[in-house]
Amino acid sequence: MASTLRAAKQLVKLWEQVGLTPDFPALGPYPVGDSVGFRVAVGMLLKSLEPGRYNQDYQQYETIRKLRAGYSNLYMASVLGTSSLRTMGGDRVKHYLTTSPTQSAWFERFSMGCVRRMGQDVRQDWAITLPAMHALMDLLDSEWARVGEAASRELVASIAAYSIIAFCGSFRGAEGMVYGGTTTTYMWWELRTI
Amino acid sequence: MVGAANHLIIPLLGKFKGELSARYHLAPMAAETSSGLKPKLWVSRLIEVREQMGRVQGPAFCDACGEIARALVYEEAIITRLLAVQEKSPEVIAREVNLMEEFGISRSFRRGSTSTARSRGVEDKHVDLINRWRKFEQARGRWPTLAMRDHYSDLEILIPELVKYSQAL
Repeated sequence: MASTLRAAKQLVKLWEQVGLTPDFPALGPYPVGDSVGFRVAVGMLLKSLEPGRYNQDYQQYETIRKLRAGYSNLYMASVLGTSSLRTMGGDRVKHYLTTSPTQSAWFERFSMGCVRRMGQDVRQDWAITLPAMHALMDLLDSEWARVGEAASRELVASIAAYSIIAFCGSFRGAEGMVYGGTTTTYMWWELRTI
Repeated sequence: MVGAANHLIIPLLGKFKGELSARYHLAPMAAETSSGLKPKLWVSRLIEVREQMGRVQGPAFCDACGEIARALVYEEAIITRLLAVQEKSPEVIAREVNLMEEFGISRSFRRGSTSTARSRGVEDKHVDLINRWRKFEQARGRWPTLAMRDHYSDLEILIPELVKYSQAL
């Protein structure tokens, strides 16, 4: 702020030396309406006061920022967003120019302020240990031997195969869920030799 | 060392994080790990169940309609069983571990797997080979700059190297 004010004063002084009238863009009042995302910002602040997973008093920034993403997606899908969207760049790298309020400079600064004031409580998932994996598989093995109903066997086989493949293949959740596929891939379930 | 037939190929089909379209990935895996985990046994059981249900194509992990199963459903089922393990064997999963909060299907297996592999002496090059998709993620949808040897590597020739990771677990 101080440096901005100092620069403005210097400009006024320099302009006056050559007889120019000082002219700065108006800092206000803002037009009636919401062109910079005030409504979404209010929504995010209210959302932040709701009980969170880690803390009963507030929600994480990572949670409340999804409101911005949701609004942006809606805007991009709207008549206004679709018709005003422009792109720059070639086939591979593109920059999208949008008039969405949540992409305004004000909203960027609001988001940055949220992160700086709220901080981010990042908790890594517990790493399942080898003894825990064995205990889990032993439990599922005994379930498999015990249950007779088809639906129960299907669930036991699914979560056991999923767990052991995810562990032995070092996959993440979303990756693990796409095993299988078409008839062709189904055949690949068979053991292969080289 | 894994014998010639002592492995299975896990086929993956889908659009992975950072990729532009669905594609196939083939993941070789030891039929049985050195500590006694049995991927082959459970995959065989799952195939048996699916065949009994008349499902011979489509996702292996699916719901009653044959659509890809939701991760949340599996997560809840796995947490229920891990809680039973914790109750019965606190020396395996300490009571201080809040499984409801700390277990996540998205990362717990991968973190445990990678840590276990390294602690059991798997070389970094094999860990990196198994986790090679990281390069694709970092490339943000573009083809990553893989070494030329990666472009020209053939899966069947690489299987003995790829299987070393799961074999060591």
